Amino acid sequence: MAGPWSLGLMIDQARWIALALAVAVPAILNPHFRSHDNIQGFLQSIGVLLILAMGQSFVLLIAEIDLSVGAVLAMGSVVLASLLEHGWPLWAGVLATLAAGLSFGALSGVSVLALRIPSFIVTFAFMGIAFATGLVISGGNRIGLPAGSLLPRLATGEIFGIPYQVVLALVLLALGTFVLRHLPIGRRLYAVGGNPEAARLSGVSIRQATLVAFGLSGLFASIAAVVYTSRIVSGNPIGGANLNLQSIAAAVIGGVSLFGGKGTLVGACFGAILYSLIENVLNLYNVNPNITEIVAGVIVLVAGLINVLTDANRAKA
Amino acid sequence: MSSVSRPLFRTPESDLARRRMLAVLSTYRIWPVLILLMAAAAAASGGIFLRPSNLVAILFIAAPTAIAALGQTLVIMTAGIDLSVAAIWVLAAVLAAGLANDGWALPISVLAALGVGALGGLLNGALVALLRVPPLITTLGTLSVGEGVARVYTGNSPILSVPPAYKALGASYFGPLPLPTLILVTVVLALVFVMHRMAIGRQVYAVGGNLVAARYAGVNVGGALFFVYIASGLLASLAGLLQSAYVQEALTNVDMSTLFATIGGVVVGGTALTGGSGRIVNSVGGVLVIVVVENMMNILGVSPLLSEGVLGAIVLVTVYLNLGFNPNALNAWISRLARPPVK
Repeated sequence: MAGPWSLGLMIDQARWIALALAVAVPAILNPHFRSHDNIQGFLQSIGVLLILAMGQSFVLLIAEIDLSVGAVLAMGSVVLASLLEHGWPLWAGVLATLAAGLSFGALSGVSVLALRIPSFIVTFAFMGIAFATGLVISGGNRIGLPAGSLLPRLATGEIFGIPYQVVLALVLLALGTFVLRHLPIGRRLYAVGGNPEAARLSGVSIRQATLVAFGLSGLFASIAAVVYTSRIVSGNPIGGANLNLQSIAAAVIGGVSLFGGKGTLVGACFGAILYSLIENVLNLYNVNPNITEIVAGVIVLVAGLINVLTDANRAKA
Repeated sequence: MSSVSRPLFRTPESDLARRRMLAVLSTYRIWPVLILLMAAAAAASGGIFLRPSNLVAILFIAAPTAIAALGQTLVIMTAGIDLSVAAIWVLAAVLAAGLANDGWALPISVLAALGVGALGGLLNGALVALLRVPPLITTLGTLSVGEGVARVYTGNSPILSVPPAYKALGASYFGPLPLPTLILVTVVLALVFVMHRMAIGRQVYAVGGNLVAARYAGVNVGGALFFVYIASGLLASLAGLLQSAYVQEALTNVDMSTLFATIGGVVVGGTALTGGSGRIVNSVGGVLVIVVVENMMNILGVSPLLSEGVLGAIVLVTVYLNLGFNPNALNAWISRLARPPVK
């Protein structure tokens, strides 16, 4: 990059302007957008994507990709709902779901390391395995939560007008940011993504970083599964099919590099908010919901393009 | 009188001939694997597998996937990946079947399908070759865009019947051969010619082998990338067309297991995801292996969900085996077998 105001840097900063515009323009033009109902509905809908985008970011930071987050979410949702159906207490069901997500993520990390295959192929296969597991457990049907379960409160409850799920996302953001910025393992994720060879030569264990990144992605996907289950009040074996794309799009719009070593969880959360805002505005204007899918694809393409322009020295090949 | 079929001593000539044979054997190793697998399927199913009706069904089912896998092979040879084949497949199918239902002549709906495939490939090519967006992200984006366009076009309602003339495209015979199989063979022959007799084919291998070296050697890298993505789009649309004609319906959602089968077929066939290697025809073998395994599990009554998982595992294991595959080790193993017993 030449000079402080190169094209790349300008585009890098332009994403904040885009976010401001995405809030300001509909807020001025559409009274319904700034209505209390819409804002509350919006806040109650972003928890899942916020958490998934953060999980995806850990993997993107080490220059890998996780295509299985949506499927792990569906599997986690089915596991949680069916455990509760079998009379498990809520805390035990949630812990078991988180354990399932963590071990599934770690297993994809182990497979990436052991098979030396590109992570998108491994996680693509794991996507199939996770969806299949969820379908086998649930027999292909939604599993309703038992009557009187406290879980739906996670989706609807609020503290000072802030939904629990947003509070949860903020706590995860704080924890994740602390890990990435202040703990050795966090710095190692950046090192491995930035320059694997240099990281290896300076004694960083690429194995450890890969396991941790995929494990965290699986864990975050299962936390998102808990939020998702509380929101739809059931376990859905085919939920989350579009969430892979959305989590990648959100992280990359937020400045997490596809080439690894660059980006923050705060950025990923901003990306998730921007993405959800665009979806919200499209819904408000009654745009054909199928067009939202086209928009999602275009956002991924634009985010990828921005990433290439801002990370020009990495994308030279 | 001496008629020595095998020379007493190893001569340079005999060594060379054997090495050539081994090279051929190791390059096309998927085919003996396929034959063994078919024998196993025949044994496990008690002969049901070998019934002509079953074998013909396999040919009909495998042809569209194999055609899409051929395009995927070209892209993977350049160290890329094309996830959008699944969307182009769906888009071409709903477009062609929809036009046929509206009474348009068959050539029009075929051309429209191929046109949309070429357009999708052109878009991928532009993003990858000109704008340098990584292929995975490019085609992940166009996968979503394509599926969305297919849904908007159909109002998200699948097309559940097609006219007889359209059905004939995917379900009729040419002599003893299913028409889709004949089309597959034609495409394979054309691509083998392109890859081994034309400059663009060599350039595809060069770009995948070492992009920087290829550029310094004067290879038109952009041209080669455009070529593979457009070819992949075209072949994916042809596949969608043939498959929708065979099953007489066109659904609006992308089928991830078909996408996995196209990529899986390529890697099971021995083409490295790192690019620069592989043979077109082996991807057909790879897809056949996948379809035969699926068919065998179907006959044995394995749940489709479980068989998806088994297929995923097979693909991962073969990628691993291919990575560790070493022609010299095969050579040594065969030498041991071929060596006359020591007295």
